[in-house]
Amino acid sequence: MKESSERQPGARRSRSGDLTPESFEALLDFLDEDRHLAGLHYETIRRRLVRLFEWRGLGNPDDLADETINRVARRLQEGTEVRSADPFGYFCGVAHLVAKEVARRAARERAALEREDWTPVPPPEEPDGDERLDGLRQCLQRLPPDQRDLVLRYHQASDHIRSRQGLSQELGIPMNALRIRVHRVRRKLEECVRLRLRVNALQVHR
Amino acid sequence: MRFPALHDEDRLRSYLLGLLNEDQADEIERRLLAEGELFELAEAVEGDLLTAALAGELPSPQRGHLLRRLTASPGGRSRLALARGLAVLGRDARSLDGVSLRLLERPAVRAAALAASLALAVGVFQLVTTTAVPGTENGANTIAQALPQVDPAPLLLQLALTGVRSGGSGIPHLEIPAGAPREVRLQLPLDPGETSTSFEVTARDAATREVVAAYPQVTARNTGGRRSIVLSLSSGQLHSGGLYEIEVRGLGPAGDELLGKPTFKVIAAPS
Repeated sequence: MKESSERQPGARRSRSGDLTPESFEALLDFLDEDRHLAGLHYETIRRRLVRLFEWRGLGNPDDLADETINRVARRLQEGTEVRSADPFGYFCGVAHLVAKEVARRAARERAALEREDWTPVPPPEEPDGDERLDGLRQCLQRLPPDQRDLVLRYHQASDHIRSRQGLSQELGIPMNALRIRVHRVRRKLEECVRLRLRVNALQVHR
Repeated sequence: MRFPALHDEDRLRSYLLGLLNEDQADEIERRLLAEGELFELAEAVEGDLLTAALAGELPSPQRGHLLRRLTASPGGRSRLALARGLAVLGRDARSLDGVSLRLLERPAVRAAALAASLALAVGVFQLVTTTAVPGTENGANTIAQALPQVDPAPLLLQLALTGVRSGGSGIPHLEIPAGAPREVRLQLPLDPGETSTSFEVTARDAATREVVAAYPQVTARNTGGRRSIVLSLSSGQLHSGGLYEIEVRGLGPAGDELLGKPTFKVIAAPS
């Protein structure tokens, strides 16, 4: 796996507190004999689980990813033997169970809401569009010029399909390679904007 | 580096747009968890779909599915905001490219550009945009007019959510000055008794019905003691003489409700 981790194995967060040191050890053993590689696999699986829950439209993907990993770790510690040669498949199976439980719970809650008066809960406060746009402008300025030009050109045409085909020919790379190159720049921008908004929020609270 | 096959891209599009059945979705999710390249392509395809959704290039049910799922999580909302920001700044960049190319066709401006490059080389100032007057004989004068214009004040327009209809005589006008694109800020004050917790806003060209900008989940802001919806557009997204419609739907526990479709007309500001 190529995705890197900023955290070291063993330094994971556990919001629910369900993951004991023993079950975490069992999890790392399952992922790889090498502790460092096991930690990297762990981070990769967690990040991808978060995305899968997001793509299923679930509102708390971080918690659900942690819940999935915790369940797998507990089962491993209890001695459940995973016969599958593909550890990812095992995580995916547990993630599907977790998603189905959440969907059932949401359906029950929706039915309860329809039976009773319900006071709307205001959505969480998020930075407004102007602040985000300012942050994005600043982050674009910090990119190397070739990356900035690429991401702006990729998003600037009214006829996206034709202009992207033109861009792919100009750069001499296949469309999927172009997509992924732009995606990597977008990820950088997303992270940069997120950090800027966090810094702004801290300055406001001081 | 190996890239996933093109049919994978089609499969991922279908997955992200909610067009796969449960078994097919489970199967692709297993692969997404195990295959790094496929996972990265899925994120890239999601970015393209978001851009397409915001540009009104997706059929309505698919667009609705994608935006509903993504706005459910903070990460999804963040990526949606990024896509919207890149669409706005990308259009600005396109307009700036057009202005620069047209201007550089003029001899006086070419001379000014050369002089400006020299000035840049000695670090006198940073030239951001050229606003040369046609027919200027002296390059130095042109340079003086081409001093940096960074982040001019946004163009403001307040729109009433009800009471103004397309074709009426009281349609508000937005005057857009010539030159580089400016930020346009639309403010739509809400009724004091409005109970919607968030709002879905779509800006359309009233003549072509083309979606100019879409904001699937906007929260109201307190402006001057009153709750208002505040939207940010780029003047590069609007054209002079165009009539634009802002459809506002309130989102709440009982579903969504149309709150109004105010319109405004864009005119070129007198130079």
